[in-house]
Amino acid sequence: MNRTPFEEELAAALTDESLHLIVLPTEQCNFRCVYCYEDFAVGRMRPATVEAVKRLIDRRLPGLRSLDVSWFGGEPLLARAVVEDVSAHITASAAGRDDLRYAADMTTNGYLLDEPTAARLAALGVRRHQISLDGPPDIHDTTRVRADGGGSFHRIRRNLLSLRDSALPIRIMLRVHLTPANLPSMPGFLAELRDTFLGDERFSVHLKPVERMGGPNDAALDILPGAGRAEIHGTLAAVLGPGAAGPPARSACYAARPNSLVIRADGTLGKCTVALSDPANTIGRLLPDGTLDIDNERLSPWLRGWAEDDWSAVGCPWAGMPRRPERSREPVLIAGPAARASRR
Amino acid sequence: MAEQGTAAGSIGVELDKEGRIILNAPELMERARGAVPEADARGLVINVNCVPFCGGGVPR
Repeated sequence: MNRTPFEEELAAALTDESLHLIVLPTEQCNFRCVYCYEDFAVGRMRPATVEAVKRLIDRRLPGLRSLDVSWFGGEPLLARAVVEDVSAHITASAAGRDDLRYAADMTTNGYLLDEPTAARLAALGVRRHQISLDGPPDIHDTTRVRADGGGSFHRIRRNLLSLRDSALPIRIMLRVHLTPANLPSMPGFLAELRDTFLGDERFSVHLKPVERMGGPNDAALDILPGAGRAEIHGTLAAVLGPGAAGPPARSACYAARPNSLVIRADGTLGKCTVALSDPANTIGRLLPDGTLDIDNERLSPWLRGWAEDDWSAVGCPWAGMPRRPERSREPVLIAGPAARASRR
Repeated sequence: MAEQGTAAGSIGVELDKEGRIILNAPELMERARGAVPEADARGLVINVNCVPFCGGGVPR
């Protein structure tokens, strides 16, 4: 069957044989990055919620061919026991299921990801990590600041070196943030990353401009202007050589996929990991028995792009979220001719 | 197709109490039918923010 790229994404989004859970085992963090959009209002996942996550997985596992678990936070390694508990449950439950693909990843600041921790996680299926760097230590330590005010670069680098020197079956994506302030140092910094890590095929580098994403320091953030980003990216990617991650293929955001859910530390269900404080992002709640109390009216706006063949709405359903004018924070589904008119 | 302000199920996609998809849109059902495609197999890495304001994941 010949499918368009959109139909490929549609079919992937609408299958019940796949499930993607983005789990926040804690929303606390040991860092206070200057551009962070999270408010750290929710703490560590309680045992009853952890059990509910496992029960949800138990309910769904028999019908799945693909289970992806993404650990997010906060800093997920502050609640490593939760990650290990749930991951051990999955690996035990999935044992012998040759028809099931299970993969897990973690977005971590890397401060606590030493080699023994990475080894434990890898044994439980958590084998892909994304770690952010903001440049050389004198710059990184002014923006990726620990909650106690200290720097973080040297310990992260030490961890990365130990992972490189290990034989662990892991993948590390180094997400390097770009700002006007760190651009002058980037060619040298990226050359050092290339020479240190990119000879190991387990490592890759992804360049990403810092954005204003709703944090308290947004007004003071200096970000790269839109014009010129492509040229900057091209120049810096050339420094990295073949180890640089290529430009992303057009794809749907997990937030637009009905088979992808965010489970926050307090059991709230959401769709997006950026819009954590937006009421539109609360679409339900995980119940103690592992069932879901879903508000399908709140869910619908996240899925609207599928009915409209709208790449922008499946690429980022939050950016263009339609809302009721009289209650500007309330999401509302606009479909059909009204939606098409609003996009013109 | 539903008009502005309509609510649950307006595009014909809902979730049940176990997060399974309830499809009530014949056109979407037809288009989604068939083998799980490449887009599923390649998976996602979250929060890579591949477009401004975060467009979600990039291929693994």
